[in-house]
Amino acid sequence: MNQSWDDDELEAVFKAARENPPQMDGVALDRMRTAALAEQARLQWERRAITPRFWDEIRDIFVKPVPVLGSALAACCGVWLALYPAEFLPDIAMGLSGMTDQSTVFYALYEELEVNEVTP
Amino acid sequence: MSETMQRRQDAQWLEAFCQGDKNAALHLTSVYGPKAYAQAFRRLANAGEAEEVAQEALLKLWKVAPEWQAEKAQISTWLYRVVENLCTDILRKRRGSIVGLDAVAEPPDLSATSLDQIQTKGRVAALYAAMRQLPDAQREAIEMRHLEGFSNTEIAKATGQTVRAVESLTARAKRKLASLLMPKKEALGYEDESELG
Repeated sequence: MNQSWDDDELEAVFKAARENPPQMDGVALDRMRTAALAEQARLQWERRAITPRFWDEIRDIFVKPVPVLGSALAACCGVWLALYPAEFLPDIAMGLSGMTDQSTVFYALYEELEVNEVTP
Repeated sequence: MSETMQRRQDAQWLEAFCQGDKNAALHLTSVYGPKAYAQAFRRLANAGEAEEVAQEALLKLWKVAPEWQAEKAQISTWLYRVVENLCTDILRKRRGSIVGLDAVAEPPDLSATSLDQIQTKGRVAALYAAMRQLPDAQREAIEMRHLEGFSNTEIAKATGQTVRAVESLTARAKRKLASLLMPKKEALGYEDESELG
């Protein structure tokens, strides 16, 4: 008896496998059909409720202005930096530190008020 | 049917599905559901898991249906890949857990009365078991070529390989299968050369 497998023998097994594929349970196939119809109905509902135009409108409101506003803001900053003399830049820094001083003053006032509340 | 025609037809069915044609939903499920199940069963050897995989694969198909592009894929090759990935996920999970009774391969259904049918089932089961021992690339190539009936070109496109690589993988897979099945030859009823044909 020949113990090795030649191409014909393998092909015969493949043929048997093709002709006898694993059979799906009929109930499972029904479940699949039901799921397919449900998914189709959901898709239909979605298409009716949310039309492509709806998405276009959303995009017009929120997405489209973003690059325009961003560019405008960047241009303003550029112009401001170009026109503002460099010698004033230390003043801006002073202004910022002044803000810090102000907050220190407010805190001192607040503390004083608190003390006054305790000892009227 | 040529590949291009098949793609066009697939796209038409999916378009009909999206338009709400119930026949399209039923047709696509009846054609591709059992195919997905068979593929998953061959890989997982478990009916319950194979059903889940087939169900999930079809759900994925319904989800992509509105954006389906006919020129990119045909349903069968797309679905093959999805089922393959879902099966890989399940096998990965299985490796990390104790194998339960549900995960054990079901014995062949011996309700068939004739000896021929029992023998055929035995041979097919032995083939599936041997295929599960092949490296993934070889198993995919041989499964797509000899069980799903794809051409080498279609397999090459679906797996992202060259046609020559697919041919080589198929040839190697066949040799490996032959060696894996060799010890079972007698048990599978190949006693007489004249029986084959």
